[in-house]
Amino acid sequence: MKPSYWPSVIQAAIIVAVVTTVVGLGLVYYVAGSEPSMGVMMISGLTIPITCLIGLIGGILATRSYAKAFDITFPIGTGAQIGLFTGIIAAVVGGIIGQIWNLVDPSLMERFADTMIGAFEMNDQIPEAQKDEIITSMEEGFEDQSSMGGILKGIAINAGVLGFVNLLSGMVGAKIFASEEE
Amino acid sequence: MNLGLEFQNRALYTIVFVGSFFLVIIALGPGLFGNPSIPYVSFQFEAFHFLCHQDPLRSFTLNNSQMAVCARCIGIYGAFFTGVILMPFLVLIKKVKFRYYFRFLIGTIILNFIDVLGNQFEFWTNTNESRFLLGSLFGLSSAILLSNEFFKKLNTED
Repeated sequence: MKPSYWPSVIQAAIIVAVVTTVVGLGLVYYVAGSEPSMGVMMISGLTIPITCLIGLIGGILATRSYAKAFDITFPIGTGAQIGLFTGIIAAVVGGIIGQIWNLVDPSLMERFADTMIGAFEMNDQIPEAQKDEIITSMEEGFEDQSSMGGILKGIAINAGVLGFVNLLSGMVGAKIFASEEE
Repeated sequence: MNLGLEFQNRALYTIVFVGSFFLVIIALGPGLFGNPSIPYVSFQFEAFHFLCHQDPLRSFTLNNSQMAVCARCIGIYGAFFTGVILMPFLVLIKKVKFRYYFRFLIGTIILNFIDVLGNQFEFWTNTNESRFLLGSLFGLSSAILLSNEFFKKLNTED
């Protein structure tokens, strides 16, 4: 019988959830603490491009950890399962950390929303009619995101996308770290 | 009709094919449906906020709306999906050993890393087009690394 891959899955999911949530919170604090301007929409100085794709590595980390811990090989289908569960758990854990942080700093998302809406109001490149429509959508969107339904919807969307991309990286991880051939 | 290919792991390939297709559709952002992009609010942006910095300056637009991911990421997802479509043809054309595919993947990761660092430390300025191109190489190399898991050429030496 093959050993359980759950310890590797949970370990990798927690790493991904913590890193992505910390980076995400850093961005939210940066925007929330800024004056409303188009500059806050252009955040490359803070989120350096290297942060891109951190969420993808869960599948690689989990398959590597599982293969090395037990010195075993397994097919890419198992790698896909490991990656899928890693991504889903990372999204759920990330969502929970985000909600705990909301209890620590309840006004954070409100400050963030105000800055973002203020930045859009100052943008004179968007026609007024369209701008009003976008701002109304933003206000509704931020309100929806803070409701229980919105939080669960956000976690579900993230679980779907993070689950799938980690399914892909889990297959790649299985191929690299746990393949029998060559 | 025998194309000289053995198709294996069919269910997984179907999941990867359909999932990659929808990933690209979501990554293209609200502009694909003629809607304005609203960062942090549109579900497409929410879907990728763990995966991409979504910087407007580093993203392409579609129908005047910012895509949900940056130029490098749309290159990765788009090329990965293209690679998934091309897998059977790649296997038919030539049998390549895993280690060469692996070296190609590592090479593209290093290229992207060098590009990011070079730009960050102002040795050069990359563009959305160059980011897209390098991201595409990474996406394509990831897909073709898996090609032998889904398709095998018949009547050839292993």
